[in-house]
Amino acid sequence: MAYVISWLSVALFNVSMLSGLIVAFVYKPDIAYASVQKLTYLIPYGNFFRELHYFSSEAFLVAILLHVILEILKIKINIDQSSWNYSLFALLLLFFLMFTGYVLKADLSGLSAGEVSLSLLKQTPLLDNFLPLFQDNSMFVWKFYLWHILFLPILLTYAVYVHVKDLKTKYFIVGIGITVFCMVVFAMPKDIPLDTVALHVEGPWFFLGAENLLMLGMSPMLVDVVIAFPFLLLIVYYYFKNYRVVINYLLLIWAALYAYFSFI
Amino acid sequence: MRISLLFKILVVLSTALILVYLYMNMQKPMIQVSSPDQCMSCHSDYESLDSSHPVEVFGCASCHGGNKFATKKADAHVNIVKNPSRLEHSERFCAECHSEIVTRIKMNIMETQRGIKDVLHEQWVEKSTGLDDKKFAQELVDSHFSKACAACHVNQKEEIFHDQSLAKGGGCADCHRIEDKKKEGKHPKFSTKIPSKNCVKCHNRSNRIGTSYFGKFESEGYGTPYIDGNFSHKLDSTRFYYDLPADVHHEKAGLDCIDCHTEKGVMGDGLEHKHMEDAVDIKCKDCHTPTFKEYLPDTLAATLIDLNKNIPTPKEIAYSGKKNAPLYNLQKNDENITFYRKRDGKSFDMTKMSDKPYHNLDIHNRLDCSSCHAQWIASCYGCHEVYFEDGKQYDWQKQKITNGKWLELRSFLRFESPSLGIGYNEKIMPFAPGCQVIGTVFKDDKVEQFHAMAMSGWEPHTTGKSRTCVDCHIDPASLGLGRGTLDIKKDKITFTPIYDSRKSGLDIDYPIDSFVSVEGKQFQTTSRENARSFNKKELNKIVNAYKCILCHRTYEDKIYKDFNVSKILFKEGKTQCSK
Repeated sequence: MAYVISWLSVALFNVSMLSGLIVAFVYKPDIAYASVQKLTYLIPYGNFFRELHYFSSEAFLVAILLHVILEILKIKINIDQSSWNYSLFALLLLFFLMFTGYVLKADLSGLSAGEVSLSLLKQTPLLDNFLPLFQDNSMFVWKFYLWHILFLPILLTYAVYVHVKDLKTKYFIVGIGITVFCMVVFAMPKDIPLDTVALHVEGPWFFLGAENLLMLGMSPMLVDVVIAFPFLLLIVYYYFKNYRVVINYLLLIWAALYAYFSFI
Repeated sequence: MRISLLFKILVVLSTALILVYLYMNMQKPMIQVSSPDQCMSCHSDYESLDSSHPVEVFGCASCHGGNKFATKKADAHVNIVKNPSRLEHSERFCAECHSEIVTRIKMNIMETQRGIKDVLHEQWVEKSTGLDDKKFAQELVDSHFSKACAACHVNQKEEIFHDQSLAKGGGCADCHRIEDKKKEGKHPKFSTKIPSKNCVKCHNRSNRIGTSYFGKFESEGYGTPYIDGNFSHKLDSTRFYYDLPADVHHEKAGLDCIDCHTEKGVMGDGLEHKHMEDAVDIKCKDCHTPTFKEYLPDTLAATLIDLNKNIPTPKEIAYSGKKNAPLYNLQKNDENITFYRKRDGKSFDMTKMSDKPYHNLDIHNRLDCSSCHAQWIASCYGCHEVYFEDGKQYDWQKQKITNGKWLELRSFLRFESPSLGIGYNEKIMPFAPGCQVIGTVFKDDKVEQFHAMAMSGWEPHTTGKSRTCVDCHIDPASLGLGRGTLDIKKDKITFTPIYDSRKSGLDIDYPIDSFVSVEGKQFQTTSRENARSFNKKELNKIVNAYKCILCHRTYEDKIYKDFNVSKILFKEGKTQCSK
């Protein structure tokens, strides 16, 4: 089971990367929303590739999360510390990649998510120094775009390669098959036009808990801590192998609470 | 081994799924991109709003929102707005290009309705009405406004009117839509050439200038003669009219409201005015003794001429004296002064105000044009407003049925030569009831009475040939005394009214049609600071002129050729009268 999840993850990663390469030919950051809409409705096969990119990425994230859960539940961790660290790095990159992709669709929810993330960054000591890496006053999506199509894919590909040593391209067709299955079963969220007023907008599903905590009045810095908490635990995981059960419970409690705050 | 088998199965299933999916989803014909957005791929029969907003350029989404790229209804109609001209949407759509107008409209008196609210408050709360509880009086004002007056409102929701023929509102569409109602499946048409019926749909009550201009006087009775067994002369399903002489501007030239009223006067000048006369821009003399300025391109006048398309580009155009608005349809080319009808561009030679004695007499310089030239004025005496606290009625503001019900009853409507008084502009002008409210309040098993009797001065929009000297100087009704007999014995004026309010059951000490007594005591209030009836001195002065008028009845008489000289000769005893 763990093995199948692993190679499925890599297959989905490959589909996500290649479909992303295709949609990147159409995406124009200066007319971000319009170019996404043209891709969706007007470019032949555009919506197919957009959905392929979306669902393969979402499925990849779900598969990776399953992969992590299965790995930490094992009796013994089989990889060395370096590989563990690369894996964690890859997981962090993946969330960044998913989030920047959400912003890049540039509809009201995408841009709002971008605004919220920049505000969070701005109000967090130390991290606020990284704001210029994401904020561009002349073109909102520009730096998100650079991260999404250039830096993050390269870094993630490297991290994944170091982790798995083999990109398992023979599973590519299965990756597409699973993605198409998701396309048939699930519906991609509708884009919300930019001039929409008085409508509730949400960020990506994995960001909902943080959004709701902010709405409940939690300080941005504490929300940052909540978001970073599982990553911090996974970073120290390798050094505190003897306390794995405790850490696993902590992760479980965090996941349950985060899920709760995501749905309220 | 098991993994290998699973992999093979997954490859087969994946391949099949991909092929089926592609087959099912990729057979649709590609959309032809023919306009700025994809809306026309379904709404191909929709025509442009007007020539300034061609759908080929603007598309649909720039005004209606939604997703202009989408080709499926569910996606395309996300966040779509059916009527973007409603003022709550106009900021988002119309203001993209017309922000200055949208700002002005929101301050416009037809949007704020401040004129109605303030006058009601002043008449029912500030002034003595018999209602001692001022808080309750204000509640009555709010209730009456919500349940009666608030129906007419630029931004009213049209769909809430049961009788769609009486529907008002819709934001910009309230005035600019030129079709009766939206035809099913067709886009409405807009125009800057506002048809008068768009104005009259609201301006047909209270001072009734909208109906008066077209020679329609609302009668208290029913519409006859019968036509095919049915009532004729209908204003709407319950109101009827008599045919009277229309305003000469309509009668002779077929002018519409917009031929005189400027865009600044109608859509507002950015200020929140308290009364309609403050908002209105034009005066008679703006056209009849016009001031011309050089026509310049890239001005509002040029834009308006360009929009109209029927009116030529002039050398000079007139401007309104009050707000300096371009009267672009009044033009001067060399020495020719031409007035153009905006509807179709038909031209007329402008009749300038003559310099005959009647326009130049010092003694008449306080007269507003309408005091002589109004042929008749619609007068609605004694409006009986009945309030039932335990009743229920539709609230035009809350747009639902709420507690409290008003019933309006009236039966004393007259068309007549206008009474005169001192108007809001401190000039002598026509006056008529506005409003004379006799109120009955049914509250907590008790009945309370109140009355707010007021006369108002306005331009009746029934312009025609001037009244005669006798008509103003000796007619008691014109003087504001009411109907009855005027006697002048040894310079003492006496007046015997016909109407007896007490006998008619009204709790007032004066005839309902009397604005003032011969002693100069004003019986009824006005809703303007400067407006009043004639005082005793003025009444005596006006009436005493009868001694001259009996002989010198018309302006053709030689004494009017140079009236100042005639007065001197009279005082020096050198005329036949003074010898």
